[in-house]
Amino acid sequence: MTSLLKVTDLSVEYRVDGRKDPIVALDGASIELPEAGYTLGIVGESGSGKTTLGMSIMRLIDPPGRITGGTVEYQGRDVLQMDKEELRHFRWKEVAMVYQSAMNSLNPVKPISQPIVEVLQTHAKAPRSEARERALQLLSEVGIKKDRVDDYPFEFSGGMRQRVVIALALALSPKLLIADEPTSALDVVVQRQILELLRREMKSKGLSLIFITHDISILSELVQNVAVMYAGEVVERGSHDKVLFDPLHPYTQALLESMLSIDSTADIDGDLAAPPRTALSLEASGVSYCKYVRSCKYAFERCVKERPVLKETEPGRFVACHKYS
Amino acid sequence: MSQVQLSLTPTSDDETRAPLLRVRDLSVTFRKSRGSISRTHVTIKAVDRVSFDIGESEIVSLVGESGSGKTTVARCVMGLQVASKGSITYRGAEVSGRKGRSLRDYWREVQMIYQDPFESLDPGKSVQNAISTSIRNLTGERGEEAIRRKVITLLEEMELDPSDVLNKYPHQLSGGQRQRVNIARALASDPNLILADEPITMLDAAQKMNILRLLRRLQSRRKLSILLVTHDLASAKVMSQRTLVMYLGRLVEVGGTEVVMSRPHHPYVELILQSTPRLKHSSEVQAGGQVLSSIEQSEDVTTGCAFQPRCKYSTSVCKEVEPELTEKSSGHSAACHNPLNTS
Repeated sequence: MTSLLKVTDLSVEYRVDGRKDPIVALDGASIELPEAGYTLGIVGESGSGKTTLGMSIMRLIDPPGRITGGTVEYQGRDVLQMDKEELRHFRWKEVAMVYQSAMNSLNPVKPISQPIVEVLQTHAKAPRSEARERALQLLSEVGIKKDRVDDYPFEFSGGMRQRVVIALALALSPKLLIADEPTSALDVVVQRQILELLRREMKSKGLSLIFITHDISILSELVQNVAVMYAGEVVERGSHDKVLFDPLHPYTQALLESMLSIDSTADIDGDLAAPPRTALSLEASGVSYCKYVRSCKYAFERCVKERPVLKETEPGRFVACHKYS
Repeated sequence: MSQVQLSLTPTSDDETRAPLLRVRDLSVTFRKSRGSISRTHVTIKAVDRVSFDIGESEIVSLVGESGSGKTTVARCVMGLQVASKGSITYRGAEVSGRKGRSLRDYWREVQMIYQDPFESLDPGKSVQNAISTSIRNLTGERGEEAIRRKVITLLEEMELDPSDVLNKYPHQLSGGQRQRVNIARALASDPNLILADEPITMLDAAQKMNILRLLRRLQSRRKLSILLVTHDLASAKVMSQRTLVMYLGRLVEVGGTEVVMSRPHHPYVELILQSTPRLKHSSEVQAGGQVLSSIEQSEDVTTGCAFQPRCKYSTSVCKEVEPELTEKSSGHSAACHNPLNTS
């Protein structure tokens, strides 16, 4: 059976003026969403490549960025080989994305219902009156009442604008939604409302979700599976409970130990394990060692000689670490 | 009256044990113009009758969402914002109205750490240059060698390797390193009180705990007092003994951090506690999710309690009478007509 989405060994680099070597943003990253309704959280520090991964799935990497290797398969079709027309259909109708700080990307001189109406007219070929009716329905689903749909973005709070952006992403009923830090600029109460909105939409529409964040604690209510990224690679992947409550990779362990949480019982004055060093994923691709080796307390000889690859340790559970092979 | 009560709701004649910082009835109003042809002015109360104390070597958290006025309070304490009403005294001396030398003397003792480590460092200044400028300006030290030694000691105290970072520029540092440089700069004159305005908000999850731990170590080593301004209850919980919660310019709850977080009196505090994301095992996640009062703050509330439109416990009195901050249980105050967890 073909997976909904399968990303295999994807590599992306950015060429920067004045630098001899390109910056390697993704270095052989792999994820898989086996079936419809699958929800995956991608966690990692800034610079770990999580946003680049989301953009690559949409094939939105523009120069100076370049996809240098790997494949993105959506329902068995290679996204990287699609022609213009196929891509036009793929984006938004099949897979939609909510970008980081997307709430600031609404056109300030157009009423908030306008972009949704336009999308429905252009892509779904709906007549104007029908498009407007559908837009109002989409907006009411995300909690924006009829009397506000002709207001302008500046008349809304950040949370309300984020709702508009979500309604916009869902306008063409995509099967997969990629959300990149959609709540990181919002206050906790508003954040909670947006997460609940997303969860309800997932459930009622049977949507699949890729949720990209650096904040582990917001994943629990939202996704069933988690992938952990480090220096352009996916180093661990599996069910939410396994990865976050019984982590295998030493990086995942360190990340969880250093996490600030309201339930944290860790003694702030005591000596905790040293938190992971931020890896700048600038190292050339194709290195022949584990990138985490300098911060790893379990490192042994093999770790500096051979790069670990993502291996299945039990059904649905993957880790890239020599400790487990 | 017990000592605890005194420090929470002090009176003006309580001069026996003056706290390090005392803020009384602080109000800040901004005038905002509306309309371009027939211009009308609206007065916005950014801070409304806020009172609190900070004792010697005490960490106090000031929690609130964006627009609650918490940063404005910190800016007033720093002397960067003129208060409309009320008083701020540091070691018994009034802060507002200080200028020139007097303000600089004050800044020797009170320093601020800003939210965005990417914006608050001059991109054209090396780490050495940034910190030595602060030392020169604040302490009046002119000896090049003494300044250099002080820069190195400060960097070591920040757990940075001086030989590594001394000649680097901000763009060559990670967010965590930049924030450490900011803290070093704030400590250049060995101040007693640090106003930390969202010091970890812009940092990566893995770096947040590191910076908080550093602040705690500095606090206990240097006997610092810290006002931690934050929107994040988790950092208030791990850092501070006392927590103040602000909502639309007013203090709505004040008490010991433990008790505020476990048995809040104010419905707003309950709401933010319930909204704070928590790592949970999938079996603990409720199928339906929690039902939260979903109304966002709409228009300015002119009478009654400012939180009333969002409050699920509101009664008729809440629409008419603005609640005062009063003690609801020992050492724990709230501004609410229908406080929770009182028995």
